[in-house]
Amino acid sequence: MAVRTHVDIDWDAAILAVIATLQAAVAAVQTSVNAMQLDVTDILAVTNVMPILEETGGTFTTDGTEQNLYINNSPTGVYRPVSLNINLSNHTAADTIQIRTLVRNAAGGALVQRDILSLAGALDSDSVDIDLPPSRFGIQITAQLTAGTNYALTWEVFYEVAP
Amino acid sequence: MTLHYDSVGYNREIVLDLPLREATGGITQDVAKPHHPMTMFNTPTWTQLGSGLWVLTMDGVNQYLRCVAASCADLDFTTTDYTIAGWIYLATGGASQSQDLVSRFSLDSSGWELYSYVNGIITMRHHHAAGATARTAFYSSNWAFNTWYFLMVTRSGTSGQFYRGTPGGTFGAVTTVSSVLIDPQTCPSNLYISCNNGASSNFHKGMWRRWRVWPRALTLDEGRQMFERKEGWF
Repeated sequence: MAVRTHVDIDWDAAILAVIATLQAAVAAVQTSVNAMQLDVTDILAVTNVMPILEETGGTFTTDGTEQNLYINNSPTGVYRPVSLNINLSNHTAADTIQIRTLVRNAAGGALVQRDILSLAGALDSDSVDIDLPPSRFGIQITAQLTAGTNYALTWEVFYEVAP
Repeated sequence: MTLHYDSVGYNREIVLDLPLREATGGITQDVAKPHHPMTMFNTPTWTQLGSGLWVLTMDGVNQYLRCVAASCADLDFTTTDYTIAGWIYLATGGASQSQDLVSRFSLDSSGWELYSYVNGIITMRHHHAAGATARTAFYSSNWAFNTWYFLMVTRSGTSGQFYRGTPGGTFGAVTTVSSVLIDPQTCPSNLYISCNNGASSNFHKGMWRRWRVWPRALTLDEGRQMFERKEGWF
């Protein structure tokens, strides 16, 4: 016949021990969650400023003077102009138009001509693309009809910029 | 990696987007597909904040932006929901107690207007030519002066909702009181920013950065994304 031994159990202590174990587990999870939150914050700091390829444009009519086609006079920081496209379908054999790209390469400096594209007479292509450089302190594209009859053109510019 | 503008979720269906980042001159470009031609009047001032961000300042006297009616028929919103959102700084000392922010309306006849009042209430109002009332509207309170906010208003069916983001804080819905909104009638007016429908009064005094318009009601989450991407600059 088996002998049964009665053992007194301190239920309060046992429960407290289980609670302590659970608290330690929760604390460990909280530490992990805090670490993940830090990672999420770091990731958001990057993704929130990821550059977005934007486009804008419009219709523009020459008047014989040098006119702004596009300007970002003082970017918030480094950004990436990509290209400018101009539709010159209204350009005739009697017309001459000059497209200038100007850049500023130091804070407070002047916008200085970087390129000039002079298109005179009949064009081989009515659609003209101009590559643009990265910019930190400002960029401007101008157009000037220097000969012929003023006409309307459409243009669009692409650039990558933080939102 | 570069994101493409039209692939960013909150840019879906966007019809007007004025970043106001030229930082010089009298021309500003719409980067949404319609390329609305915007004209500045009376030389609004470009202002650089301490963070380096450039914003457009209106004097509250006679400065404003305009897009002629023929070029902004897509902003009629006679049947659709809509959203208007942007960064705004309401400065004290404007000449008018009531200052139009964005509007395309004919008083008590057609169109819509978003305007602020001297008591810190901003209201979105529809104008009606027929029916039981000439105006329906929704508004929210506690817009402090001399403070930057990211403001978003959405119209969804017969009601509207204001959202507010405070730099350094959070973005969320704010208490909005709305009548039962009726579709605004089709409007032959120009789009104005910072003045009334005739560019004759109600000029806004304050600062602006990146204003956008959609023909749909954006979600809280879409608004929050826009807010979080820029709030560190204000």
